[in-house]
Amino acid sequence: MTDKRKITDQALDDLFADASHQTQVPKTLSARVLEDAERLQPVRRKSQHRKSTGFFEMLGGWQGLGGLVAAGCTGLWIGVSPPAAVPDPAAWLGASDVESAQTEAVYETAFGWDLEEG
Amino acid sequence: MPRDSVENLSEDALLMRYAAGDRRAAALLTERCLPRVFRHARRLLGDAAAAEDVAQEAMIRLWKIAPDWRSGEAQVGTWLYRVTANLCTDMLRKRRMVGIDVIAQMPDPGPDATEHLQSTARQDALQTALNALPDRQREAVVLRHIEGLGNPEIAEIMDLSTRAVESLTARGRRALQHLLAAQKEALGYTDDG
Repeated sequence: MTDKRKITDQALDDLFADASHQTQVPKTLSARVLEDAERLQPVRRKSQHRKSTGFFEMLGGWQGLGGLVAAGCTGLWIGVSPPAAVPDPAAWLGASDVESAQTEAVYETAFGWDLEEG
Repeated sequence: MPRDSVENLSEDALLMRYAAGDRRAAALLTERCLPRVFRHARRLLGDAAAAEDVAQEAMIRLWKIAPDWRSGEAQVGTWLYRVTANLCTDMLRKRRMVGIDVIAQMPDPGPDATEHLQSTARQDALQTALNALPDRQREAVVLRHIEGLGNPEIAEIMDLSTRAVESLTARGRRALQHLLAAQKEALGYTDDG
């Protein structure tokens, strides 16, 4: 004899079975969860950080970069307008040309060649 | 690693791969875990919109714990059910504090409501009856009969003994049968069903 004050075990089990198949995940929820996963992925986060700062760190950070800029500016200044205490690099270049021409002449006369004819 | 091999990995192994930077692992974990988390939250809360928020938060917690996950200590599924239940409990508590009538928000028809009216009506009735159960009883019934978990796993999720789980589910079933009897005819059940 069935108890009219309750539904049967079978009816309840059927309801449970339907319930376990019915709920579908909204697509927007799946998309949000995947976005979270990407944003919070540990290694990815680290690698992005490395990409942006790798070259900077290679230069030695802010201190290294500061030193590099200072050295560059100093070099440029010396090149354009050398102070009196520093020998003029352009003069060195000129001296070098004269010396080179003299060396060449000595070398050629050593073989008895006549420079005026050559 | 070939795609087939990754798909065959356990959730535990997938979580480790996610922590190591594998994006496919995140997609596979979402595919496997999110339906269970969302369904569980929806049955515990009786509200699809709130269930979405809880499911998203539970998954965020999974992504965050990934680097510290200790393989072999806990099952990912068990851990997620526990986190989901805790989030639902918090949400239900807040609702009660602000006096929102949870049952009044039901029914929550799914997208196929027009095509499966009676099936939907029965599911709504089941949800309304589930909402009327005490929180722990509802959680045990949903895990046992809708999620299909075994009593030992439910005991682990709910931090109870297996016998306590058996008792909760048995009482929950009886209560549901009585609650649904009031709508027997409306739901198309005969006296035999």
